Amino acid sequence: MELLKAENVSFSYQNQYQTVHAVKQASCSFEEGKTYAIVGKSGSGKTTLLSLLAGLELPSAGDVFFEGRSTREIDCDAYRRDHAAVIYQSYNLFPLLTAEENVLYPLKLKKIGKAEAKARAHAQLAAVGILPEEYARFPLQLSGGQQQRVAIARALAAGNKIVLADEPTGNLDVESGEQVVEILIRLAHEGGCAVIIITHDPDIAAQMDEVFTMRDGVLDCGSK
Amino acid sequence: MDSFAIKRLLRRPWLSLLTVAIAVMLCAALCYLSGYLDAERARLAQVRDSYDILCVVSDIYGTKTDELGMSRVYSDFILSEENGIGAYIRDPRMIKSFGYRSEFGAGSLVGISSPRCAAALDESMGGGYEAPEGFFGSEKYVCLVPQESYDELAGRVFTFSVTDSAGATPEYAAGNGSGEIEIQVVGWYRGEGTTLYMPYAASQILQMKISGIASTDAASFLVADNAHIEELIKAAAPMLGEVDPTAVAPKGRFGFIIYDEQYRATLAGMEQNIKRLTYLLPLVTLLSLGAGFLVGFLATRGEARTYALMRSIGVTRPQLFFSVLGEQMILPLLAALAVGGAIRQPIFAGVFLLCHAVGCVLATARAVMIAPSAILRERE
Ligand SMILES: Nc1ncnc2c1ncn2[C@@H]1O[C@H](COP(=O)(O)OP(=O)(O)OP(=O)(O)O)[C@@H](O)[C@H]1O
Ligand SMILES: [Mg+2]
Repeated sequence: MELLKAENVSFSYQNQYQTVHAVKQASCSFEEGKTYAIVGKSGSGKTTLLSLLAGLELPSAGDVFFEGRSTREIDCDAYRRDHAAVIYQSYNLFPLLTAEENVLYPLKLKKIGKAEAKARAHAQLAAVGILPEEYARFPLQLSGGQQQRVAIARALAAGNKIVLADEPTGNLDVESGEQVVEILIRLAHEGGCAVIIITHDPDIAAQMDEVFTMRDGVLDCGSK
Repeated sequence: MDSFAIKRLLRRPWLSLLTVAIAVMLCAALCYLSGYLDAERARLAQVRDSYDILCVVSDIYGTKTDELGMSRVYSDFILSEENGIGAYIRDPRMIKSFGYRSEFGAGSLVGISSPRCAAALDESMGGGYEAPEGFFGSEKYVCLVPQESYDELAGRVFTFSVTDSAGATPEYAAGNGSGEIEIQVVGWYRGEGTTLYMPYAASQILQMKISGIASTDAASFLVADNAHIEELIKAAAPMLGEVDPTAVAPKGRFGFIIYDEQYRATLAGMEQNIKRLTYLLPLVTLLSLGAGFLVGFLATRGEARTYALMRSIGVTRPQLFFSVLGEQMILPLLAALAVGGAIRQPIFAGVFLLCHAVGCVLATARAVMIAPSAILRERE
């Protein structure tokens, strides 16, 4: 089932000196249970497209639809809280909260009871391979891969169906990167999420169900 | 305010300590200063109301304050509320003395209008007395004797031969300045000697009887309303002018000296103090605001990524604002409660809190303006 759709979406950055058309009339759609890669040269507009899909920005023209409703109409804060999780290259976790607290945080936002929140958090942390003795560690005491996995656990514990990841393996060694990608693929195929990954790594892109390519702000939706 | 906020506070102990220290210091300073200001104002009002400013009637040159021989016109002017300065003064002290001779000796018979006319009676000067109710306003020939002789003389009536030095001056004396009266001993004063005290009113009647005139030897009084001494001076001007040692052709015979230097010095000192405090208070208030901004700035500095991350997880801007503000205000709030409670100045603890909060709000508003997408751009 189609979860997320971009229709003729454009976005430009404007400052006093110039206007940068970062995304030009992009159209694409994302379904439950599938993985997507967005690839392209640096500066081609991948991150910009991701922030439009996440409702972090609104398009200059065109629409991003979540379950048929434009991000212009819906409450984007609630959209991110309940449906779309964003995972960044780095700095995904609150540095002053432990791994466990980081996962509990969005559950608290959703006003989920303490006991249930804890149970969900532990289940998801276990699912991404974080050991119980690591729950009480602060982000700085975790490896980059562990941090990314905690961030994924946070997205899943909150029950989000869309995972938008901007170069999630960019800061990781090959092995941890593979682990993270494996988890993300499992999420889509077993958990029914729509997983969208921006990556520069052709090996990772090859593992995805669909690969979209950005060239100078233009999105090529041709499947692989 | 959630448990995570408290955890974050505890995990940043130095900033939290600094926050508490600043809050305690400023709140205490504000509460203490305001309390001190209130006390100073009350003290000033009390000094204004109750300080005794003494005025002493003298000759117009200011060289003589006793044996003035001041005629009835003047004493009436001093005492009368309608046709004089009676309304502007309090505790008038009028004195008229005579010489006496009696079966138990000779001495001075002094008419006084208040126990404060004589040190021997004045409690504030170590004196004391016992007299029947209304003694000082009485028109009867009664007197107080030294305490040691009282047991022997109590209640007895004596015949005195009295002489009036003013009465001896023939121009304005109708009588010859001496005569006999019967006088009763009704009380005592602390001390010994041959001086006897009688009511001032009775002394005036006595003088009328033996000299045909009534006069006053010395007069002094206190200012009724310290805040309006000028009104007293104005009201007194027709009869009691300003003392002028160099006067060539003085306007009148008598003037009065106002002993108000000490009063004015005390007042000036207190007013200066109050003025300083009233400058200091807004300064500390402003400082509280500045400290709020500083603490808020320090707390939000370098947190841009955290806030962007919160926003990207779905925290709305108002939620973020109140969460960050709550995190900053909880410690100052506790500090203000503690200090305000300890010093019993809840209002100024509140003022501190409010100013501090304004500072924090400014700093926080600035910090939470961050766009959630900024996190995608920020690089460590
Ligand atoms: N805040 C901004 N103001 C102006 N231009 C911007 C801004 N952010 C990005 N751009 C420009 O928009 C274009 C697209 O940027 P974007 O970050 O989306 O590229 P990207 O494909 O994610 O690149 P990379 O692979 O290096 O992350 C670039 O030309 C970039 O310079
Ligand atoms: Mg990018």
